[in-house]
Amino acid sequence: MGNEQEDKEMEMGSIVVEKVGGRSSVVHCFSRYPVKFIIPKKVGSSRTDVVWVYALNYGGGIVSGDQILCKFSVGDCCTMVLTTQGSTKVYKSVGSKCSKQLLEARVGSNALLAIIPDPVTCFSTARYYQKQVFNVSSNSNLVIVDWITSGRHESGEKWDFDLYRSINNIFLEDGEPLFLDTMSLEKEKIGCIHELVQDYQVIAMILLLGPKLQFVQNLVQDKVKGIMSEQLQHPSGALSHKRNEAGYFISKPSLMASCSVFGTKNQFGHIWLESFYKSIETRGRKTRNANFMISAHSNLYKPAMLYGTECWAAKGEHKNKLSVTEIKMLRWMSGHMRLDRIRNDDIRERVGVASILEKIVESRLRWFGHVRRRPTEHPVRKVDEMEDGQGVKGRGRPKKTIHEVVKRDPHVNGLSIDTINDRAQ
Amino acid sequence: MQISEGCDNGPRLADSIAQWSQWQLLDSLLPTGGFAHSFGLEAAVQSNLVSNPDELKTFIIHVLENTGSLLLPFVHLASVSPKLETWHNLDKILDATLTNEVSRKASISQGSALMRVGSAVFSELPSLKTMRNASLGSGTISFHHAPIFGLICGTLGLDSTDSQRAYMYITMRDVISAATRLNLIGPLGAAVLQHQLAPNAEAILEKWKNRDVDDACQVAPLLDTVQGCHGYLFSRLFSS
Repeated sequence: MGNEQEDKEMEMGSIVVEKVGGRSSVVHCFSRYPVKFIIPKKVGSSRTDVVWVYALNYGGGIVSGDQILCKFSVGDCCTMVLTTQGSTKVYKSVGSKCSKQLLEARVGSNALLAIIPDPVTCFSTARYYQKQVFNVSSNSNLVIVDWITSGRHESGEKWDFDLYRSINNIFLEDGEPLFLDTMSLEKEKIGCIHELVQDYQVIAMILLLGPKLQFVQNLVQDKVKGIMSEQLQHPSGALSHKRNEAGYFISKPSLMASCSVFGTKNQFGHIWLESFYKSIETRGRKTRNANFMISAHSNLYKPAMLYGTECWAAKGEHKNKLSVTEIKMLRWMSGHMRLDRIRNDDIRERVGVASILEKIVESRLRWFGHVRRRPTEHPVRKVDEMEDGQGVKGRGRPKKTIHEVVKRDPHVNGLSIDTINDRAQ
Repeated sequence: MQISEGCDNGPRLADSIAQWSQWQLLDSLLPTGGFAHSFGLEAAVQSNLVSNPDELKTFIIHVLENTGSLLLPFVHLASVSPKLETWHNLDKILDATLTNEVSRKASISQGSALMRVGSAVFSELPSLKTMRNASLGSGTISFHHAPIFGLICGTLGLDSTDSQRAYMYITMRDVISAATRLNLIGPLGAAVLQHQLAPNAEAILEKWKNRDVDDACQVAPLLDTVQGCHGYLFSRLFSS
């Protein structure tokens, strides 16, 4: 049949994973130009039974007119991960030719296939078609991440490609369709793609299927609900230009995400991310975004996913974990941030960090008041007094005592120590 | 719809009666529960994607584009072949295609209501009732809106293009009505907007009509995501 002939010509790679000696192993691996598979042995812990496959394209991307078909088979109870070394670049289309990338995968019973590539980046005028078809059993597990960036935005290319079409289809054993999703962004048919996507720079779809992923599914669902509920809290009636006197826009959420259940017990989420590059009045949302992606997918993603993020946001996100030591807090408090300066701040990124610091100060103040209200005989107060007696401290001890630090806090917030005793305040 | 000018009164009368049925199908008075759904407009307003009349107009056009690209194939095929097997097949495919839970549930509730109303109102067409009864028991049919709409149009004698145009019409009608109730636009302004958008809707119809379900695709994924956020709204007027 014509189709089979075409398939044979297009087949550039195939991998079969089966259990050998109780461990998932690659029993068949084939690839030819322009596809190459790298199967490193030492990714992650040796106790985890998983095969990692990196798919590369010679030339670093997909050239106009490329037609690539790859087939994967994951045997029963096996685990395979398919990922990339860098974002898949789709170069400009020459002569209106469309590049095609097809993936067919069969996932066995109780097996897990995770497809977690870097995003696709289409250059200006590129034409790209991608189809991924999965045949699964009722208890197969699947993780699919399918995402695309707006293009080479440093060069000013934002949603400047001609065609991007991505299809993800999942079929059950009897051929019944479980999930059929096609997204098509086509300049010719729609006109300006930018208008449809507005200021968002990344579109991502994450699909989680199967009993092994129940924990992640619940985590993602709760996280998305938490983040989005916060962003959708201002119901508005009449249309008006939403700008207050300070000139702030009440802006669109930097992250637009929704999570849906499909099939009977499975889930997928549509997650939209606004660019990390854009300077935005997000007031700490950037930090939260980074947190969401990392915490929800810490086992799946390389942190390199946050490529290009300003270092500042990355730091803020780490600190947010609140395993901050007091030394670091002191350094920040005394060295960089005086809270009154932050309120007038015009470096907007810092607001995200400052709000965390405010919270830290707040909790410390609370404790201080609590301690002070204890009678003088109480052991806690005795320890308080003892600390003043220390002269030279050993290495690693903070130079300032907690007293000195806390003394500053009320001043900064316009309070005095006496007001602590007045609980009404 | 042309009124035939034949000398024979029979077909002419039948045609005229058919028009009454067709107009009733498109009338907002028909109790199909369409007004419980905002097509993601409420979520769009609360996430500041729509905050002025221009953005509303753009939003409606995008909804129409997405309807055209995703749902018209189902209307088309159902109207061309208004039979039980076709309907069941389309229903199954659409259930897997509507991956967004919010829009899937909206489609099911509207479709079930439409089927119930259609089989009761158009009682001279017993096929609707029999198909409905056969499918209720099976448990595997979700009663999605688009195929049922196409099915009823086909049974009423509307040709495929008219059926698809009718579906675009009721989609536009429902979004604009939602906009009115969300206080984004006044009733008169809504009517003006609806008339202004008619040529856009027709152009969209021309672009996306008569396609196969294999070609069904989303062209406005942001809209899909926004609609999916409806469940996170703290206070809401609509159910989707």
